[in-house]
Amino acid sequence: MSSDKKLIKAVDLSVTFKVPSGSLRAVDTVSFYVNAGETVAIVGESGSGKTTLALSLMRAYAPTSGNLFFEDEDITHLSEKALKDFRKKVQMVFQDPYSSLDPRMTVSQVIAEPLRAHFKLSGKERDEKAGESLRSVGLSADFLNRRASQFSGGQRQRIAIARALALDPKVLVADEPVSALDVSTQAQIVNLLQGIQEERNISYILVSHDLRLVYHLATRVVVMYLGKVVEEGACDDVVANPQHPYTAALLSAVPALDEASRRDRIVLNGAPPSPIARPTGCSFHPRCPIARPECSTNTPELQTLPNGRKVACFYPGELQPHISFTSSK
Amino acid sequence: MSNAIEIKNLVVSFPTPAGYSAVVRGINLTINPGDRVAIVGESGSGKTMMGLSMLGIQPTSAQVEGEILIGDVNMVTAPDAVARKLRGNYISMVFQEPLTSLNPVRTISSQLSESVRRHNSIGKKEAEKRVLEVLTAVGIPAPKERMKSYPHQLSGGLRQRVMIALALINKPQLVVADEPTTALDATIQAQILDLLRSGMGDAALMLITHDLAVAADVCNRIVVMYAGNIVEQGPVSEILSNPKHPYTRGLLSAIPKFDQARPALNPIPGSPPTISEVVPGCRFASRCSYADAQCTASEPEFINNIACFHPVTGAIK
Repeated sequence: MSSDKKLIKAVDLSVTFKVPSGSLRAVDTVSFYVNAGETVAIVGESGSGKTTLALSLMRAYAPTSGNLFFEDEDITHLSEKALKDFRKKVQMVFQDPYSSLDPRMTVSQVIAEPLRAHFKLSGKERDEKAGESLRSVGLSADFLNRRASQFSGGQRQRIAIARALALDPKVLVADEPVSALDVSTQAQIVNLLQGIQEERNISYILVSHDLRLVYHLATRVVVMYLGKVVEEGACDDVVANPQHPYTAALLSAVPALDEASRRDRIVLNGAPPSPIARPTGCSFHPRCPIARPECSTNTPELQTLPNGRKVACFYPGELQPHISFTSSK
Repeated sequence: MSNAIEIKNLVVSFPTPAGYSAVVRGINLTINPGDRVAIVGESGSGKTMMGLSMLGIQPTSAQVEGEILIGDVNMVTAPDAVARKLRGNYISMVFQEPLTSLNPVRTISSQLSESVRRHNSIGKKEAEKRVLEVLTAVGIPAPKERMKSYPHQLSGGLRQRVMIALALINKPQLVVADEPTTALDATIQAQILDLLRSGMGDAALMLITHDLAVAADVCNRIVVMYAGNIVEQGPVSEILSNPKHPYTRGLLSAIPKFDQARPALNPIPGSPPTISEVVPGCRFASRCSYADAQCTASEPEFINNIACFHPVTGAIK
């Protein structure tokens, strides 16, 4: 179960990259937290900054401004050496298990690598731990001596998860963990991730563009557009009653199995603008179906509504998608 | 012509150390004019190889057998000159990644005009008129200015619209679109799906996808492929509400839905056979909860829109 203990907390975090034409603010004054045992999803399109945010929460990028806390300790400026304990507790699973595993390494080497970096263990102890980790993702310890290249996509993603779990982390950052997998194996990995969370009370930061997957897995959701959070709230509420028109459009864009959703689809014009040439006022106004003149001059701040939802829009809740909920209860 | 294309007993195989292995294993399929047919399958199901063979642009190492009939031309045996006349004219293709399918050093206009002029004896001016017409039809804003652009100057969504314009420019009877929205963002995907559903003119569409929801969104008929075979086909509503093949049912119950109860997903165990794997009987049997001795002893034929000894009825739990 999730609790109110904040494991990772970011306050007004910004990450800026230098580009030939100036600077690109990929993450723009974002505040974020993840409690123990919960799953927070970061959603948005490419260029929204969702992956950069996830990576900067792991301190893979040094923040340009703002602060990052882990278990209440400010780690914004800690040296790599001082971060060693943090690295152990925050692990990552990548999108494509074909490129995230070295094909020439044996499974045992893949899983033992983080153990080698963080613990002084004998070879035998390492093998035991690696085998244990492999069993926890539903693979036989007999696979330890095979090479990663001998496995199917689903099995490789299990190995990547086993590597991340070997250090017994408190937070797992998963960037599109199933989108490179075949449909029939995606569900295996989704169920595995859920089972692991129940067993270990681990927190997930899930980066995904698949809103049905997000609805299935996440407790909270953060919606990003051009580097900024435009909406944040409990996953159930956000999907049932989105407040930002961009969230509404994203939900409406999910390919639908039913006709009603298709008929009433909100289709946005154009594509997200470049974060280098950010529109004035609300970044979303050029594509927004309900934009008013003021939206191109004034920038809406992220405000908290009475029900706890956060939204950056002058007209929250005005645009609603048609979503057909099923209920198996 | 009564149908847009007719495929009879199509086999596509590749050389492996153990001899030729088939990735498409004897497919029969007819697409009628104006049809929108989705070919749904996972990687390795043979859906892309079938699509490429229909245009005669499969990899050179592939061995194609059977018949792909466009009118009285069999694309499998047709001389190059004959196939080339049909390609881009009668049948055309939209690929997944528009950036790698368009020529980076030529303008949009020059690439589209080339295709018009190759198949019609018309002048440059007239060809450019047709280019403008088709760019407008696929919803490209400011088409006159865009004609002069190079592919890299357009966004991913616009590039895919250009690809679709290129496919439509000679008013073909059939467009084969292979995962045309997989590389696109969610809101852009929605735009392109709209275009594929209602902006294709008189052309029939064969949409190759791994995503049942994308198939349902665009098409009126779904053909499900597994490990080189068609295992089930039917109208979209029929496949979604009353799927009979255990694989189709498995795919549907493996996708997360907007279900407030958030029931655990039902994955299909294991993974599909590799192309060189010899599987006795039904290729899905090892992953199927309904399989019995009959299923591993002999391969079910495709009869009455399904290839299964034990079709299942009733709603999916």
